[in-house]
Amino acid sequence: MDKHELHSDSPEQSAQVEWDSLNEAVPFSKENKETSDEISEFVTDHYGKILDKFIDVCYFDGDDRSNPDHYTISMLLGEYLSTDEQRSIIESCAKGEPIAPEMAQKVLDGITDVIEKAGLIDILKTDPFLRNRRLIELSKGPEWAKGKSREEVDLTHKLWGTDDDFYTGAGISLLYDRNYLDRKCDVSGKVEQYAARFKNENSEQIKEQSLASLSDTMGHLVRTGQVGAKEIIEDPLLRKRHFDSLLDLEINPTKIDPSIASLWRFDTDFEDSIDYSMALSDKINDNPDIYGAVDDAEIEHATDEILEKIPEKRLAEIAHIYEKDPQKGDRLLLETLMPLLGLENNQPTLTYGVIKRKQEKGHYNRFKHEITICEENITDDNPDDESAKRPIFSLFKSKKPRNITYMRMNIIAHEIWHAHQWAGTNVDKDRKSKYQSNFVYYLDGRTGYLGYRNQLIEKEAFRFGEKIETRSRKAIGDSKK
Amino acid sequence: MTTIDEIQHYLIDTQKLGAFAANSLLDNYKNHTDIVEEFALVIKSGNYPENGITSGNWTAKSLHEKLPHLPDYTIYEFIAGLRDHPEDYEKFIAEGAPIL
Repeated sequence: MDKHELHSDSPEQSAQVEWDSLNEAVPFSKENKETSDEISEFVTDHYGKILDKFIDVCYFDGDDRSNPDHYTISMLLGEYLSTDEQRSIIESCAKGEPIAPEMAQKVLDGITDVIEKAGLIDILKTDPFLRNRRLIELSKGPEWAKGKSREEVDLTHKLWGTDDDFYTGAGISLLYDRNYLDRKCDVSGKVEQYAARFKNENSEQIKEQSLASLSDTMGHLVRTGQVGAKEIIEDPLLRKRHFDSLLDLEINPTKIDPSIASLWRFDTDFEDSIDYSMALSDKINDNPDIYGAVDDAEIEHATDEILEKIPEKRLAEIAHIYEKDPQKGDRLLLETLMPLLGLENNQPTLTYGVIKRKQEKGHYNRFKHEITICEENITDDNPDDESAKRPIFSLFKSKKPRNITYMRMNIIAHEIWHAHQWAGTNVDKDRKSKYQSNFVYYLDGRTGYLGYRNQLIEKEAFRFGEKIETRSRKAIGDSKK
Repeated sequence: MTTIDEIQHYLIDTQKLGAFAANSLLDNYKNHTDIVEEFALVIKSGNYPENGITSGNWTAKSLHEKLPHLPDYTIYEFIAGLRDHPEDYEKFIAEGAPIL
């Protein structure tokens, strides 16, 4: 029989084929069965590191941070180990003491089982100890296959099939299977569990872990529509973690593991429904340079630097084009400003339509990198247009643009400036960081118009828009009515 | 229930603002008793008074006519703001208090 033929009738034959395939791909020694001391040492060494690594990866600003809503192996192990068992293991690790062998065995069995079921096969493959143990189990051959369905055998083969990257290292790669969790985890039950653990724990490490677990579970529940955002937003600790992780992922989307990239989508409707303002109170007090006490001199410098590069003649031409075709004017103004703002290779799209908050005249959507103009909200607030009244000889000259044209140029300049702020082009790292933080922790007018206008990104964008309008008027020889 | 409480309930329950937003807005005008009382009356009646409080030559009614896109709680923020930060708010009014 071809040893690679899997679909034989006999489970024993099938298992033998399976074993042969695996052995060929992953040679190991059946003789090297580890002792209980070795297991204990491994788990002591690895489990503490696993927890540290996962906590570091998932919950703090580690370089490897991926999706903050990861379910870690420690959480999955929660299904196999009781709280006391987990606590004793963590405390042993913290003290540098070996974990009791029987506990270590239980952990190892749990880890291996959980890892494979969660599809986190690369962890098993790349860790020599885990791989070896798994293969020892599989080496039972026909005995292993007994009682298993063909699907299970096929799955094992599929998971353990030849892989060129098999020996790429002993590091732990964290793969997240959200679908697994959706199917398998009774997450609503876990909210109470983690909340109780957090409240009742004395160990700071477990407390932090429980809080992280609680926060992630809540995030999962919110995203899957099982609870509303209210619970997250109203709890100060959960709120802070949610927004901090949101900010991090917005700014560093590459931190999202590619395997879950298709699952992680920023839902703007959902986020718009959350009252972010409550979270802002924390940020406002800590960042006066973003809220309320912005450095005006820096704003003048930043906007003047760009303004000086725009030929007045060009603005005059664009203003006249606006009079005939406003949308063409929008495009031309953007084309003029984008290269100066470093956006020539990252151009936002321009659309027209209704904006969610009906009074808005223009809006920059950072998720789509899109500028939307709501033409029906752009009305001339000076109906007695002085520019329409001219001495008779000026009938032979071009009519000057209306106020509404300058207003529209102001709006376009304002929105493209937001695009530049979010992209962080041509600014230093510190300023870019402030911009990006302000976008996420943003004061809309509902918390007060003054606060809205005085926050960094709006103060700057309004200033730039004003300057474009003023310069355009000057270019035409017009003054503001 | 005090007048401030009435306004707070209105902001949260009717206008659907969050607690923080509501409290931030209240901070703007709660030190101006006359503004608070007029706003509470407006909430009940649904109309701005003809001869309401004046701040910097503006009443709530005239501001609403000038800036119809602003909700009532922002109008009263402006009324209070014209007292506390007159330069800022006059500028905002001159610009049309745009939301961009």
